[in-house]
Amino acid sequence: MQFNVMQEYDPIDRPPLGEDEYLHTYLNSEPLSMAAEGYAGDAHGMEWREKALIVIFTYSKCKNNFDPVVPYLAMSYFDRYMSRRNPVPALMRCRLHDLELLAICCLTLAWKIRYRYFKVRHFKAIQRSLPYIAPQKFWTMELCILQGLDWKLCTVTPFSFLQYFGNPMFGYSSHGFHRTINET
Amino acid sequence: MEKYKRDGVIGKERNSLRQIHKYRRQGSSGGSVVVKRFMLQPKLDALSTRDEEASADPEETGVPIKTLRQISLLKVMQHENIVRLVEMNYEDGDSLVRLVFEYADMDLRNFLEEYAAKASDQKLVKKLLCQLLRGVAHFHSIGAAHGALNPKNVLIDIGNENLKILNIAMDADALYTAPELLLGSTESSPAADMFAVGCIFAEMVNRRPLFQGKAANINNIFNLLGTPTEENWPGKLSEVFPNLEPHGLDLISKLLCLDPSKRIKACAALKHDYFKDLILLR
Repeated sequence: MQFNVMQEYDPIDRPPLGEDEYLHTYLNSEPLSMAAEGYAGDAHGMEWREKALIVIFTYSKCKNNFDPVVPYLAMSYFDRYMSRRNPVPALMRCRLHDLELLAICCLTLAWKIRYRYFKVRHFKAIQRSLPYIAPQKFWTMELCILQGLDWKLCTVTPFSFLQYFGNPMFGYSSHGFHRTINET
Repeated sequence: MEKYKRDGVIGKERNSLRQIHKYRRQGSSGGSVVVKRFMLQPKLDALSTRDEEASADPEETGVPIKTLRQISLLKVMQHENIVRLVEMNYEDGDSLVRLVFEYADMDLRNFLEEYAAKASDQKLVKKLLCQLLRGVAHFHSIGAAHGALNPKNVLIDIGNENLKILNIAMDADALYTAPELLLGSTESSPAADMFAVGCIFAEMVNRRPLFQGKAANINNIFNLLGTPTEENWPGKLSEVFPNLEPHGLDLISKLLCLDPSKRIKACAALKHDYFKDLILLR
């Protein structure tokens, strides 16, 4: 390891904190993990989202393993990136393919943060219908997303709150649910 | 780096010959920083002599996975007892990122040597240990382990007696390595961090490393703590810390517990009776 050793990112099975202090932390940082306000009302944005959703769903398997957290994370990265008016880099032949590459890279970033031993080549080996993407284009798109998300991939998701269900604090909070779902 | 001037070496990077330098900010703002570079794109030229971290896997596609995971973790680390990431700059057509972290007045090792009288105040030891545990608890709460805690990457601001953990990968010091790692476990863990906290606590109390010698080995640890039957444990701890209050002795024995699964966790340690007379600075 080059740096501090990390356990796998797991938004469900967090270490048992049991402290309201940490619930506050989650609640405070959750808005940063959400799509920007008004995103769900943008018809063009929703059209692109629907296309990205299909791409992410289609390619969300790796090594015969389906992990529901990965496409969820990928979709949350896509929503955050697009809702903050980040540009979709023109790297492919048409905008539709640019969008497809953006969605695929959201997916690979989600795999990378979820599993430290993830390899894009394993992913490509499983997903044989995946179009060929030049490594440089792949890298450019991933970096672009990372910069757009300010490198914040360890997001707070509704899964993070599962251990707190039953906590009276939830009675006073309007957070705890995905904004895009709420607005739709 | 125009606004920073090199200001001494603070250690060596893990698994590398590269030294980590401290820089002093130019101009009125002053203050010191530490810089860490990350490669964002594997170099095709394997013989590149540049001193930045090389990507581990040349076959890797996209942004290197280690870099991605480390930076995204750093981004969510916001705690008063962990050094702050103050700047992030891209270089070489975005193929390199430079992270600038704040530094403090000095590290704990220097503090114990240069401020021996101040450092011998047991109330201050308690205050510093509490801050160390709070920083470590934050690491663990976000699903991370520090992996190389030792007095060189625990920083102290003398004026306000604040403690901050430096989370740049320096060489792990064998004197602070948990027995399970010495016995072959390769993965660092929150429990291993807690053992290192125990060693640092011991060093603050006695103002000398708990395990002496060229390198700590399993014999040194078992010599002090007993063989892992747990029956003769805590062995000689009360002899090694004759002036430590009973609650402190109990806490140190729980931090140095040989069995990582029974070792006290950071959150529990913060609630230990040793801290009951401490007014926490929030």
